[in-house]
Amino acid sequence: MNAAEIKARIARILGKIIEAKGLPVPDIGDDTVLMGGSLGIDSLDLAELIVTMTEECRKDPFAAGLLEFRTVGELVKLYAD
Amino acid sequence: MRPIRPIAGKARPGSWADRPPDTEVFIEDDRPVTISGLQLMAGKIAAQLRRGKFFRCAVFSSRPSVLAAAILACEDAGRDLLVLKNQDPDDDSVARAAGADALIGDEMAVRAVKEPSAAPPSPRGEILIPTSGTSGVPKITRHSLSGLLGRVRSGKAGSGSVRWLLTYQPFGFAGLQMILTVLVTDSVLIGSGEPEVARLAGQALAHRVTHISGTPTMWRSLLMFLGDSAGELPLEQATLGGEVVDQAILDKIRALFPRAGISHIYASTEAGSLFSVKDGRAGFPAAWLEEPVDGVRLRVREGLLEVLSPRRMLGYLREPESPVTADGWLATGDRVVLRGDRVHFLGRADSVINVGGAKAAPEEVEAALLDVANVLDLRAYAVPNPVTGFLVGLDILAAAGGDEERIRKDIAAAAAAKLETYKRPRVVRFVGAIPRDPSGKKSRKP
Repeated sequence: MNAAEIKARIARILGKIIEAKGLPVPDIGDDTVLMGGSLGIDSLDLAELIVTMTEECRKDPFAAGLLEFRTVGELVKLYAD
Repeated sequence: MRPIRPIAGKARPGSWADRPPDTEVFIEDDRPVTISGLQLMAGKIAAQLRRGKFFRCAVFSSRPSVLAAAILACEDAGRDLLVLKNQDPDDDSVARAAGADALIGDEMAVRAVKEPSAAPPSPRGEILIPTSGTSGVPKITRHSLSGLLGRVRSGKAGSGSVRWLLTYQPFGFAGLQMILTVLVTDSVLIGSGEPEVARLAGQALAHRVTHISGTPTMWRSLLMFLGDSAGELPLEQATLGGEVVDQAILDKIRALFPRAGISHIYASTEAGSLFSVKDGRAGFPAAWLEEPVDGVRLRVREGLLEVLSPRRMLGYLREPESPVTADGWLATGDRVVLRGDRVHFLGRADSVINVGGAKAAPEEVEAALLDVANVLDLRAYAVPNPVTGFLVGLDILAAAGGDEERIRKDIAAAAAAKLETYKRPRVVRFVGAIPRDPSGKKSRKP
C-alpha cells in the first residue's frame, strides 16, 4: 500500500470516529495534528484508529515498542511499506 | 469383593440406599450406568487400591460414572483422590507432583505411577481438585467429601423423575458437584465427555431433561441451538453459575420456562459451593452482607467479595501462600458493587481490562449491552494498543436475520447511555460463535 492509500484509509477511519462523536469532520492533511489539535479526538479515539489501521493493513508498526508520531503524515510513514 | 456403601454410609433421603439396584444414575452417550453397575466399578477400584497399598489415587476420565466410582472407592478405602483434567495418558508428571502413587483411567485398571514422590503421603480421604488455572500451573485444592456435599440438597425423595443435563466438564469443580448430586439424590445425570452444544441439545431433547445447570454462556448457546424446541423440554429447574449471571439471561429463561425454578449459584474451586439466589434477579440481596446465608458470611473489602464458609477448601496441597486474609476470610477475587438493595458481581479482578489506567470489567460491559435487540450473546475482551494499553473489544453473536448495521448502532447507543467512555467497546465485530474455555466460561482471549 502506498502513502496516498494509507492516508485515505486514515482519513476514512478518523472521519468515522469523529462523526460518531457528533463533531464536524475537518479536512485531514499530512500536517493535521492527531491529538490536542483541531480534530477533537482523545486517546481512546486515537487508540481505536491505531487498532483499526493495524487490523486493516495487517501490519503492526508498534510491535517492537512505542514509536513517536504526532501528525497524520507521521502515522502514514509508520504504516507505509 | 465386599459391597461399596452409599456415600459416607449416610442413608440420605434419595441416596441409593433407597433406590433399587437397577436404577440408572448416569447416561453416558446413551449408555446407562445403574446403581449396581456403579457399585461393581467402585468395588473393582477399591480392591485394587487395597491390594496395591496405594494411598493417593489420581483419576483421569471424562466419564462421570468412572469419576463417581473413583470417589466412592477412595471414600470406602480411605484414600485420597486427585481428579485430573486434560491429562496426557502417558504423562504422570501432574499425578507425581501431587504425590499420587496410582492412576486410573476409563478402564478402571489401577496402575502405579512411575517414580512416585519419595515420601508416601498419609491419606486422609480427601478429594484433590486442581483449579482451572487460567494462567500458569494450576494449584491443587484439598476438599473433604462432606464439605463438597454441604450444599447438595436431598431433593424430593422418591420422585424419581429428576434428569440432569451435564453441561460442564465432568472433572471440573462444577462437574464434580453434579456427579455428587446424583449420588445422593434421586436423580440421573445425562452426558459425558467434553460438553459440545449440539450434542447437549440433542441429549436434552432425547432424554427430556428436567434440570439443567450451566454457565450463562452455555445457556445462551444451548437456547440458541434448541430454538423453538426449547419449549418441548419439561424443565423444572434452571441453574446458572461459573460466571457473572446477568438479568437478560435470567429473564430469557423465565420467559421460556415460566414454571421452572431458576437459581444462580455462587461457588468456586477454592471457596466451595457458597450460596444460591432464587428470586430471579441478578446479584444477591445486600442484606446477606449482614446476615449469614447458608452458613456463609460475606463482606466487601476494596470492592472485592470476601467469604467465610464452612465449605471452603481445606487448603492448597503444595502452595504455601493462600488466598486467606489475616482474620481467616477467603478473598474470592470477584469484584462487586452495591446498587440499592442488591450486591452485583462485576467480574473477576484478574479479567479487568486496563484502559489507560481506568478499569473496565468485561462482564460489566456485556451485562450493560446484552438486552440490545437481536443480540444473542456478547464477549468483551482486551484489545492491546500502544496508546492506552488496552481498549475494550466486543464480539457480537447476532440473531439470524438481525441487521448488523442496526445492531452496531444500537450497541453504540446503549454503551453511550450506560457505560463510562473508557468502558465502551471500540472494536466491534460480528462472530458466528462465542468462544468458551474448557470450563464453559466465556474466553477472555483477544
